Amino acid sequence: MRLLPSPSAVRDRVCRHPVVAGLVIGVLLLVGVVAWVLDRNARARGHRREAEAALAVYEFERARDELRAYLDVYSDDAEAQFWLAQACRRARVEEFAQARTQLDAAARWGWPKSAVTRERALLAFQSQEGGARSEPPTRLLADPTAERALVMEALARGCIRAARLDDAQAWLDRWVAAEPNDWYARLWRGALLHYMDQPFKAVADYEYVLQVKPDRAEARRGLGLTLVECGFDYPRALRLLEDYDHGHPNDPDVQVGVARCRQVLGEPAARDLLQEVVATHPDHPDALLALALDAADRRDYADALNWLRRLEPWSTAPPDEESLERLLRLEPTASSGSTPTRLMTVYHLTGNAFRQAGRDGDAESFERRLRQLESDVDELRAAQSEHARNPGDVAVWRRLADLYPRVGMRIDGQYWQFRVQQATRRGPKQ
Amino acid sequence: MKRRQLPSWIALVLVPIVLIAACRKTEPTLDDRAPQIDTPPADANPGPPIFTDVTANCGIAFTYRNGEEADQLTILESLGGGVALIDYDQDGLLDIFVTGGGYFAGVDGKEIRGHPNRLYKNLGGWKFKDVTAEVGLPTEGTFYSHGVAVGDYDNDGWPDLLVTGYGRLALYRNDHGRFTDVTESVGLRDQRPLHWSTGAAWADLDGDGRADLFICHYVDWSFANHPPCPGGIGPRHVDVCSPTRFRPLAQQLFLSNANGTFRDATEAAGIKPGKGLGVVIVDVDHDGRPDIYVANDAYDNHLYLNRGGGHFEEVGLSRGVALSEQGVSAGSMGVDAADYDGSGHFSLFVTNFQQEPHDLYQNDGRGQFRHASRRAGITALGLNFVGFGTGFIDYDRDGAEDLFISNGHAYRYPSPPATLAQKAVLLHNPARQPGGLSEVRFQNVSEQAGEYFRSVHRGRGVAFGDLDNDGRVDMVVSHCNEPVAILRNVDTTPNHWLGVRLVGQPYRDAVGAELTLEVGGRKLTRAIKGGGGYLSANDSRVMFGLGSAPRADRLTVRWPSGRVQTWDGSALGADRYVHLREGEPGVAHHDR
Repeated sequence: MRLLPSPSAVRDRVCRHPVVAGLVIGVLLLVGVVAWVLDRNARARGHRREAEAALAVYEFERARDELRAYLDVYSDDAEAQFWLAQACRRARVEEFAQARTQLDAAARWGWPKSAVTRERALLAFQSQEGGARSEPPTRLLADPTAERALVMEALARGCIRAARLDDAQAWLDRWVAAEPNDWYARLWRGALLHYMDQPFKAVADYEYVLQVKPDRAEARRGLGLTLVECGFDYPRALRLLEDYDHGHPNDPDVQVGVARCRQVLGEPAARDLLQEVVATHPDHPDALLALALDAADRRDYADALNWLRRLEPWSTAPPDEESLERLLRLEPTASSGSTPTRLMTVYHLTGNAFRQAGRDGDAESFERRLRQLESDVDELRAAQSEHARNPGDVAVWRRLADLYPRVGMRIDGQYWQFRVQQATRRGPKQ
Repeated sequence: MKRRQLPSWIALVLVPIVLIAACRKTEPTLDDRAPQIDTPPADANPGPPIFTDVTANCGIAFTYRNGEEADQLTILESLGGGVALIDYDQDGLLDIFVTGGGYFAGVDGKEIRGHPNRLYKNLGGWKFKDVTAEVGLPTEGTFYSHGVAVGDYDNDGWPDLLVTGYGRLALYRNDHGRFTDVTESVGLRDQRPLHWSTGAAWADLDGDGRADLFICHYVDWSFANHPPCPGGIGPRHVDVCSPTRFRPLAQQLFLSNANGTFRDATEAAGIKPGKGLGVVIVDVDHDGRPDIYVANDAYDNHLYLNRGGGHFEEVGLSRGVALSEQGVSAGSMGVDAADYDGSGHFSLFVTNFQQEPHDLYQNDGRGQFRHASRRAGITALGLNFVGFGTGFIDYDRDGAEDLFISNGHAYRYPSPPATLAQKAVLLHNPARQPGGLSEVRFQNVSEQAGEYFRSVHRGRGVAFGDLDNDGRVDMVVSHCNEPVAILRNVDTTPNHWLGVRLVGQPYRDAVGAELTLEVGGRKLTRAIKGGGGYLSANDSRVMFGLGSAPRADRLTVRWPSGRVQTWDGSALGADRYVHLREGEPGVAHHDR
């Protein structure tokens, strides 16, 4: 039995009734167009709902994509334009130019001026468009219509971008104090503390995040790495980092963290993994240090000295801009202590390796360097205390300018040298 | 980029399909899954315990008190106290002496006073009796006490007691079981304005046949130097200060005179100031002279090589035992030495503050050391502990030195996840195969070790010794403001053992003697050590685990005098204690 007429029969009927045929085709086209429009709008509304859901859980990249899809259809939605501007600003990889464009659009389509002005202020500070010394728009915290958490997040991120880490920590502390159950605030503070070589405190924040948001990969990464730094629980750190590594391979810090855990737990695969990291990141300080320790463990002191020689220049290297960018992406680099501490480790291990290798003269040279460094660190501490008591004393600035480079902190030395020169030109402030 | 739109009729057909497809549950991505990473392992049956806590029924109810109820938050409160196992009446059973600590009195709460110390006589059958008064020891606190060291300073065969603390120390001479305070008369009264003695150790350091004394001192804290120190979670946001806030004190070396008194030889001997807590005396370079190793808190640890004639050379840095592996001074507390790797050389172990691995320094035989904590599985314990009392003990008599660590925080308000009370740790040393340097990796057996190890304590000093002479090493642990714990070794491993008591001539205690037991193709090297642990004094007898061997083949003793004697295994027997006297070939048995 035939269900459909043959093509020739259809053609015959169309030719016989052209008006009816035209009407039928027209109706079909109309139905198709209506269906397409309905479908497009329904999908757009779905994107908006998805965006709202993503914003609620601080998934700004997803929110941004959903809002863009929504705005393809409803480009006149001022609220969505505003949300997109915020999502672009708050995303892990911030899109400040795009945020500005969207804010303009939001204003154009009638979004309240006060909200747009506030958001512009946050955007300006977070992006540091006014330079590293720009003042934070703290007045917004007194604005009853402003969302305080949003303001403190922007202030903290702006301070991080300007490398004003103590200020950033102060804002994050205020944010956590104001919103103690906000896991997102804890995630930011954990990342900053991790970066600032305070893993002990960072662990508590990361633990909190994982309790309430066990699916947050950044928290798993951060907790794994800080657990290694603190040495609290190597088996758990290893599980966290291996789990993260499966979903986000080739993160050198995570790979080094995995290797360090394996070293401590006596698993032999550590060396291979470290060598893989060094093959792609030849200057990774923690990988070089772990390889030196591994070589010393094997009593291969020549190999240990080789890794330590490669490590020494990196012990005094200041954190690069990339490390701040990584912090802003909530992927802080693994910390390996302060510069003087890293130098002490290198001198000590090098001295030990030379002793074990029977090269006592070389060992003594490194032991002397270690003793000198310890003495310089003590002097620096004393100068820092003196500076805290007399912040305007140029003689103390001079001591700081002299002492910082001696403990490997050249940038800080240059800063104090610059201040001394300025003061000398102007005459000292008393 | 503008997306290409589908023709509407296709949309009409596809929409329902897509919707149906969209209704299907998607497979979770890795990030969507609830992590399966932190599930604690199911409780396994821990099996029979290794140690049982017998404190409740043994007649000892004693607590070291640090005076923290006055809320002064002084660093004085952080040290805690120690324990000595001493057979004071020479009845063959180890008795227990515990220091009492102190408190703060006066109108302003700044008078530092002592709680009494106690001596408990071992009655046998795990029963003890307080004999403090009847043996002539003070029953009232005389000063704020910390540590205790046992040594027969006058070579009369009766072990004497030295008690350290804040403000003064006390030497109690033992005369046939009766004690007399002889501190003043022997010249140990400290004339300096600030005295804070901690760990102490006896040994004949100048080779004259008489016991000399090394005393650790801590820092220059007093109420006149008591800054407020910020603390994380305390009610006033202040806490006990770190020792880095204070200056080190001079350590003291007293050499004995022929008339039974002591002279302060600290400067002449080349002893440096430090923030000393633990001290062990053992010959690390096999030159026949006992060397001194001092665990300093937040300060370089010191290794004094004995150059003879009462002269010492501090070589901690060049020998690799001054610093942590990170090249910084660790907060070191307890210390011990042992041939844990079967190499025949004495390695050093130091317990440290949190976030610092305990340091195991492996002796390479040339008196040079290398960090072995990571390789030996010590670092794998985690860095959450603040370690105090410690000691190498062969708890299962397999011939390999195991390791115990008592833990508890030094601060009153440690920031989480660190805790005030912490679990003690027992590490098992897997018996090594004969031949060559062994890369020992300790196994953490704390969870199987007994109920005491599964609960948290504010652990401080610990003393090891065989309290019931059954060949199994027991221990007594002192805690801060928590009763002392008597832990009986009930390990059921069917291994044999041999206990040795050495009596030197003329120096009876024979600290520095090196004992090498050949058994089943292995050589076990032990020493009579001075000091060791934390503020405590262990059983002076040496315990050898023989494993499954029914008896030893040979025992060689190198006495501090330089004399070397050998005893055949058949004369020594097994599963009993023997007394060996310098210069005498015979063996006196002390069967249990």
